Amino acid sequence: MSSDIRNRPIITSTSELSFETVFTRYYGLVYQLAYRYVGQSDEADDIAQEVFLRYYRVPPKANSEAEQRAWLCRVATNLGLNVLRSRQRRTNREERVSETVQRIAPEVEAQLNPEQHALADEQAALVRSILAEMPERQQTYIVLRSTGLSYAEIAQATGVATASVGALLARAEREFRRRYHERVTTTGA
Amino acid sequence: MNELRQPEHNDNCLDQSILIARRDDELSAEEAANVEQHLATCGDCAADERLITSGGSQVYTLLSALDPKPGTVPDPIAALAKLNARLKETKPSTKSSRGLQAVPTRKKSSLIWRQLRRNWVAAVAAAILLALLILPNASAIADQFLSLFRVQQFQPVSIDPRDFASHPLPGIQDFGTWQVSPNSLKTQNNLTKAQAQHLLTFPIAQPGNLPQGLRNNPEFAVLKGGLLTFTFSSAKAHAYLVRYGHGNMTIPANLDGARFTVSVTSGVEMSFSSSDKYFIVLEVPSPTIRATGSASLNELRDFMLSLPNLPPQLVTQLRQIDLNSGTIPIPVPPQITAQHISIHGAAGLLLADNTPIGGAVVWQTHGMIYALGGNYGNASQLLTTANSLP
Repeated sequence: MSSDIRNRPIITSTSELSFETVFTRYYGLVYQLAYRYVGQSDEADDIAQEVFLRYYRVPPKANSEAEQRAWLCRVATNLGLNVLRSRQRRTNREERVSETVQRIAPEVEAQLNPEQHALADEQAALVRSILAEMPERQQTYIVLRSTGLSYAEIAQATGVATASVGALLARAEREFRRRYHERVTTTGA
Repeated sequence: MNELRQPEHNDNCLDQSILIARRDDELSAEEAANVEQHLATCGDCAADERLITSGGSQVYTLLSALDPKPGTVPDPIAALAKLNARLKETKPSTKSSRGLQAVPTRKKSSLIWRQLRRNWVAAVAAAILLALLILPNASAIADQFLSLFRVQQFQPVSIDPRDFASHPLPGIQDFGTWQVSPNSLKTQNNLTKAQAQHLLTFPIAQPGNLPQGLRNNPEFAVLKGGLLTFTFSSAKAHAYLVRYGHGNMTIPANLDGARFTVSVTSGVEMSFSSSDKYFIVLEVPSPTIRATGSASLNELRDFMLSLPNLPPQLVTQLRQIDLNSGTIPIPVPPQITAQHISIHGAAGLLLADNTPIGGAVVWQTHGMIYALGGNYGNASQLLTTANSLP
């Protein structure tokens, strides 16, 4: 494949996408997905780097760009969940939530005043802790959906039938809302 | 459709998976028509549908709290350079590219537009930021303390991605920090038109003419406005210059701590989509950029344009833009064609890919920025839709 991309359309029905193109096109998506799981820039970047390193070394057998994108999201999800499992082993849930708030704080400190900072972090920590309590499959469905994946892509990334995605999302959303309202009611947040 | 889709009321009523698929525009045209017909006559299902929509909106609004903060996502080019360095460290490789199997153009373009939809907030901020950082020289006001820049029009600026392969364009995070006002730049999704209108200070203009096949029942989303303040840091700028071997470059003393505020008013996004087609209309009041500290926008711009490794052709193009005109440069890569057009007498740009992938139109009039486009329709259809906005 030529390295000259100057005159090549971004997408044609016959061309291949270079590794560089795939990286620059999907790095943001993979980073965002990883960040949603781990909540820290350095870890999200590490995960994104690892995802593309695996892609580079052993390219997936993808028949379409949608499958490619789904593969990237699946690997990012697995790595993100691995990080969460490691954290869970280190500490109990209350300590973990507290740790997340404390560890995120320096990163956003430069962008928000103390009040905003506290509100944004409280909200993020609450959402993240609710997700952590849910079955992994359920949190995966709504996190993938929240990053803009179609039902077909979610199906590709999680290995379920496309026709089942709607029902699985419905259950996951219902479960998330139930746990959220439970928390808000309990804590008065 | 599958074993998980259990009817809730009776055999004729719709289960939640169908309603949620309707909400996410994942039904076929035939399924959607049947669902709409049922909803029109079944109060229970219509109530469920409203619950699903509002519940989903709540879930995904809450999940948006997990998004990375604006300006914190690493630049992909820099991230790629980091990966390349890691690969070189571990094992030399002759592999320079990987291939994807061919897929239909419309399918791929749909993905691009879906991603664009999610990122349009960032795209707007990036465009403003680009203007802030590399505004062209304007001799007429060179001696003035320029304090206010209001986005009024757009100018295509040719870029070549190869120019940035070895020397990535600097990111804002390399030169300072952002502060974002409370609750600003949050997107509220899955709104009705009435809900969206309630959050806006201008009347929503809905196109009267859409590309063939699209129904005029868009999903509304509102980006809440706010203030973004950028504070220049000489220490960060110096670190950037050292990283690229230009540590002896002088940074004007008054830039350190200088503040620049971008004011954004809430805007609306209307998205029209089907399984592989995407079309969006954006309406947002023209943002303003104000210098509120020790340095002017001119001084910031002059410093940014003096940075090493900026492509000379890009710098030349930017310098030719009159700052007084409130012009935002729009980067245009080689595969995109840009054409000046007029919408209701207002100057705008038509951006189109050389392939039949779609395109976009952007223009400004009466203090409002309008943009629309997608992977659906050709340039003529885009202009027809643009001109159909009231």
